[in-house]
Amino acid sequence: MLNKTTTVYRANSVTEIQTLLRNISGISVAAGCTEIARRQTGRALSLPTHVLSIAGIPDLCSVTKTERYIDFGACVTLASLLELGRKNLPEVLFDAVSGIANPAVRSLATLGGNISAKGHRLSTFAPLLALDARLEIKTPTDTYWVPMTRFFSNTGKEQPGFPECLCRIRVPVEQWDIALYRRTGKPCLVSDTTASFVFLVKTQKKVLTDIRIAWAGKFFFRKREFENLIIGRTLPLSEKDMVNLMDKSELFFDQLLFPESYNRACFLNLLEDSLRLLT
Amino acid sequence: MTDGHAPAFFSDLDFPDQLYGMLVRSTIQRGYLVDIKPPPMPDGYRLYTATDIPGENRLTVTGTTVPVFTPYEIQYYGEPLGILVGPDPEKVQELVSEVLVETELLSPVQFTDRFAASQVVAKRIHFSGNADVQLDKAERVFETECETPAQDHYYTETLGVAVSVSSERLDIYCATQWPHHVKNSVSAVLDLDPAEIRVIPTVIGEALDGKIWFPSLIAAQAALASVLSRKPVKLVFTRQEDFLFSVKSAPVRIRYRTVLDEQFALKAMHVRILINAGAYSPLIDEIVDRMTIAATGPYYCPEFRIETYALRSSLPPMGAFSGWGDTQVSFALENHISRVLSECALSPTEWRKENLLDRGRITLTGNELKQSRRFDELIDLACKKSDFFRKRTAYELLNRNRTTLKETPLRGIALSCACQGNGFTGKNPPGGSYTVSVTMDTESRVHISANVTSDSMRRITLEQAATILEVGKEAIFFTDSSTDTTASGGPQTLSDKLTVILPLVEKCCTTIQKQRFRNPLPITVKKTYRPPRSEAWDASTLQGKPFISTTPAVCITEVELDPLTWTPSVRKAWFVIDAGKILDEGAVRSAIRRSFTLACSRSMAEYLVIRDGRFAPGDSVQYDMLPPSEMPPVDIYFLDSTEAPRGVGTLAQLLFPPAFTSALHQIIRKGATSLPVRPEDIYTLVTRKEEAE
Amino acid sequence: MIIPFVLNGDLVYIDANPGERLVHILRRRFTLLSAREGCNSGRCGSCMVLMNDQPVPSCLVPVFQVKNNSVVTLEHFSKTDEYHDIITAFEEAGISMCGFCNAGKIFITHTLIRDNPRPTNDEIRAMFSGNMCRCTDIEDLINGVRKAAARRRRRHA
Repeated sequence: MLNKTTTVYRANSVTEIQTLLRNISGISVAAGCTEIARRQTGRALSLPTHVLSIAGIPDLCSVTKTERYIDFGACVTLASLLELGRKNLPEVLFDAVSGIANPAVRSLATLGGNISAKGHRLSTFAPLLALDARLEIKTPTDTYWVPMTRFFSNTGKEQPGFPECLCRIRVPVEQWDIALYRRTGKPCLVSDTTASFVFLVKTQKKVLTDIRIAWAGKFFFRKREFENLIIGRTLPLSEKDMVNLMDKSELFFDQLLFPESYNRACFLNLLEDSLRLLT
Repeated sequence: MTDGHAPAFFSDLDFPDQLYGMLVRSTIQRGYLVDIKPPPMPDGYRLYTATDIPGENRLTVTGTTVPVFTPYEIQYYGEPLGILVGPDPEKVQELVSEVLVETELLSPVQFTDRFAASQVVAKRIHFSGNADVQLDKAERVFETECETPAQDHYYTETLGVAVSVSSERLDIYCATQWPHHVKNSVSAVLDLDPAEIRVIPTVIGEALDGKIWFPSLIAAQAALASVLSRKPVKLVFTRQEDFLFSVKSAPVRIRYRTVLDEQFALKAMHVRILINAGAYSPLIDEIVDRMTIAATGPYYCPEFRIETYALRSSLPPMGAFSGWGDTQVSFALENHISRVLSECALSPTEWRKENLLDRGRITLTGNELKQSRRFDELIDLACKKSDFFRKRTAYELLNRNRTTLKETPLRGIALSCACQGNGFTGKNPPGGSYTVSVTMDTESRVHISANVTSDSMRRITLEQAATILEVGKEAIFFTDSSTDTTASGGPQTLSDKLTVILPLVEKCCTTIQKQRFRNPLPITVKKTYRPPRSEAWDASTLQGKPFISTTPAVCITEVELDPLTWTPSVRKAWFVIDAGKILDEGAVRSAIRRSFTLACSRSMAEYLVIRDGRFAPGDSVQYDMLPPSEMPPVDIYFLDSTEAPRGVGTLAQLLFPPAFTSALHQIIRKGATSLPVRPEDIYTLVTRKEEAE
Repeated sequence: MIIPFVLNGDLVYIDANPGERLVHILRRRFTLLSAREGCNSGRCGSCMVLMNDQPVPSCLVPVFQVKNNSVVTLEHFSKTDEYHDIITAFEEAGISMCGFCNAGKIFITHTLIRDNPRPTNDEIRAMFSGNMCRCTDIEDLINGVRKAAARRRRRHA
C-alpha cells in the first residue's frame, strides 16, 4: 500500500546530504530507485517515511579520472558508464554493466544503487571488489573512505547503515594482463543462480605479480589467502600447480559460501578455466 | 464505413462516471464459504456477490460450467467470491483487503498418479489391437515419462474488461477470441436479451489461446456490477493478479511405453496422459481429444492403447496454450522416440522414414491417408541444409569418447517431426460454425464481415479479395468486429483464419464476381463452412478425419553447452515445412519465428512454481521469459506446393522442445524429461549421473 | 507533495504521493495513454517515456524523481519527424505489432539511431533486450530499425 506519509527531501549538494542526515532521523537515501521499484508489485510504490533524494547532485553524477584512479559518483547511471566506452573504464566493470537489465533500466539505475542492493549482490559488486574499490561515505558529521571489503558484509548489518550515504566509488587505474568477467544465471534477470565472477591477473617477466578473484551472488568473497598462494609464481603454471591449486580451492571455497551446490560448481569451473589461462 | 480495426485497448478506455472493480477472492485452496463481511463502505462503493446474480450463476463452455461467483464450495485459492466497485481504484483496493471471508477448510485435491474416479473430469481410452499383451510379452520395453509445467501466457496487456451501460444496451469491451461467447454468457448471467448486449473485441495481441473463455467470466463479473450499479465498470487485473489467477496451460505428465519388432519398427505403444485440469477446465474435452489423437504423432503404430485422463485439482482453472495440448504430447513423444533410437543405435532419419505415416497407411483415427505427407522430402531437405549427418556423427563421436564435460566443444544435434492439426476436431468450433459474409455496395465498395483481427491475415484477405473481385485494395473494408456485425461462431483459434475463414471469403468473392455484372448492387453473399462429407468425424469413437488439414514439418536443432555453467544455447534451428500454397511468405516466416521464440522460451526459461495451491513466477516477482531479441538463429524452408494454405502457428512449439532436449541428450547422455531445461537442471542431471556411475 | 516538471514541453505541477509510479500519473492525471502498465518491472517496454532525452520505463519511476526533469511521451513525440521516420519504416518492414508496447519499440529505436546512425544487427538486438512481448518477430524489427536509420540519414543528409 502507498505510504501516504512519505516525505522526500532533495539534496542539491553534498553538504546538504550531511545536513539532512543529521537533522532527519531514519532517513533513507534514494537515487535511481530501480531496486526499490523492481521488488514491488503494487500499483504504487511503498517508500520509507523519509527519503533523501540525491539523484540531482552534480558531484555525484560525474566521473573523474586521474593518472592513479577513477572516481565514480554514486549517482552515475549505468547508461552513462557505458557511454564512456570500454577503453575508459576497467574492462570487467564495463562488461558487468553491459549485462545489467536493459538499456531503459540502465538509464535510471545508478552504480551506487547497484552495489548497495540488499539481499543479493548485483553485477558490479564483484568487479569493484576485485578492483579494490574504496568508498567515500558521508555521515552527518564526517566523511571517510573505506575499502569495499570492509564496508559490506555477508552477515549481520547490511550497508549502508543509518545514517550514512555512499557518495563516491574510487577505483585505482591499473593495467591488467588478464581481465575476465563472467555472469551466471539468467541474463537481465536476478535469480538465485545469479552471480558474478571476476578474475584479474598482472604479470611481469613471466612472474605473476598480482591476482584478484572475486565472486558475488547471494554471498560475496575475495580470498586473499588463496590469491597469495599464486602471487609470485613463475608462469606458465604447470599441471601439477593446477592440481594443487584446485585441491586447495575446494577447501578455501566451501559450500557455505554458496546458496546452492550449482553455484559452487560454477565458481570452481570458472576458477579452473581462468587459472588454465596461466598454464 | 469503418476500416474494422478493433478499438484500442480496453485498459485505455474510460467512461464518464466510471467505477473501478476488483474481485474479492477466496483465501483458502478448498473449502466452504460461510460468510463474506464487507467493511463499512463509503457512498458509491458496493460489493456484489453470487446472491446478486439475476440469471444463472455460471458460465457454460463446451458443456463445462464455471461459477461466476462461488456461492458455497471453494475450489481453488483466489476463486472469485464477489466484485467490489467504486469511483477510486485505490480505495477499492483498500476495501477489498478489508473484506472478511469466513470459510471452512477442506483438504485440497492433489494431482497425483493415483486418483479416484471422482477426480476425473474427462477421459479418453482409445486403442487398436492389444498393446498391453504386446508389452507384457516383449523382451524389451522402452519407457519414458515427461512432464511439462504450468506456463503463463504473459500477455503484455493484463486481462480485464470495460463495460459501458445505458438504458438501451450494454457495451462490453474486452480482448477476447470468442466475442459471441462473451455476449451469450453475459446474457445468461444477467438474464438479458442478447440483443441488448454488444461485445466489441479490443486488440488481442498474440492470444496464445488464453483468451477463449476466460474473458467471458470477467466480462460477466464486471457486467453484473455495471448493470446493478447502472454505471460503467472497468476491471483490470494487476500483473500479479494475472499471474496468480488467470488461466494457465495445464500441467501434463505423459508416459510412453513402446515395443519394437524385429525390424525395429514400432509394434505397440501404451500411452498414458495425465492432465492437471485445475478446478475447472472448460475446454478440456477438446484438449483431451487432441492430445489423444496426437499421441502416436506422425508415426504408424499398429497396436496402441492411449489413456488420457484430465484430473480435477484444487488449482486455478487450466486451459489451452497455443496448441491445445498437442505441443506437450509432441514433446513427450519425440523425446521418447529419440531415446529409443539412441538406445538401439538407430538412425534418426532412416528409422523415421520407415515409420512415419504416409499415403496408404491408416492413421490412429482409422483414416487412410490419401496423400503423401512428404516427410521424406522434409527430412532430406532439413538434413541437407543443416549438414545433419556430418555434424551428428562428429558430435556422437566427441560425446561418446569424452571423459569429462570439460572437453569442449559440447555440442549436439537432433531432429524431430510433427504434424500441426488445423481447426477443431470435427472441424466446426464448439457451439457454432464458421460464417462469413461479403457485400459489394452500390459504389462497388466491398465490406467483409468476418472475425479476422490480425494485421497479416487482414492483409492477405484483402489481397485475395482484391484479386478475385478485380478491385483496388482501398475499396475493400472489414466491418467492425463487434457482435452486432459478425455472425455467431466459435473462437478464433487453431489457424481457422487461414484454413476456413479465408477460403470462405474467397468463395463469397467468387460468387459476387459472377453476379455483379448481371444483378444489381448491392449484393451480399454469406457462406458457412460445412465439412466435406468425405471427411466425416465421429467424436465419440475418434474415427475419421479430425482436422481440416494437417501441416507436416521437420525441425533440426543444434545445441551447445557451456561447460563452465551448464548453460545451453541454441546454435541454430532449421525448420522445413509443407505449408501448402504460401500467400504471404513474409507473414508466414514471421509467424514461425514468433512461434520459435515462444518455443525457446518455454523450453529454456518459463515456469511457474506451485506453492500451497498458488502460482508464482520463479522468483515470486518476475516471470522469466525470453524476449524476442534472444531468439536464436533460425532458417526456414518451405516445400513447393499448390495445396490449400495450411496453418503454421504452433509448429515450432511442436518441434523445437523435443529436438532441443534430444540434442542435449546427445551431449550429456542423459535425458531431460521436463521443461524448462535450465542450467541448474542440467547440472543436477549430470551430477546425478556421475554419482550413479 | 508538489512536483513541478516539464511534460511534453509544458511546465506542469502536480500534487501527488511521491511513491506513485510515473506511468500511473501519466495515465490518470494527464490521460497520456501511450505509456501503458504491462509488467511493472521495467522489462516489457510498454510504459516507456523519454526522461531528459533518455528512454526510461515509467513504471520504475516514483513520481518524485521527475521533479525539475523533462518527460516526453509518445503522444508528443509522434508529432516529430523522428517519429515518422520510425513508423514509416516499421510499416515498410511489415512489422506485426499489437501496439501495446509501441512506446518501448519506438523510443528505443529513436535512441539507438540517434546515437548510432548505422547500427549493426547485434547492436539492435542488444537494445531490444528490454522489450518483452509475444507479438514481435525480431527479424522484422531489426529490418524496421535499419530502414528507420536509413530514412533518418537521408533526411539529415
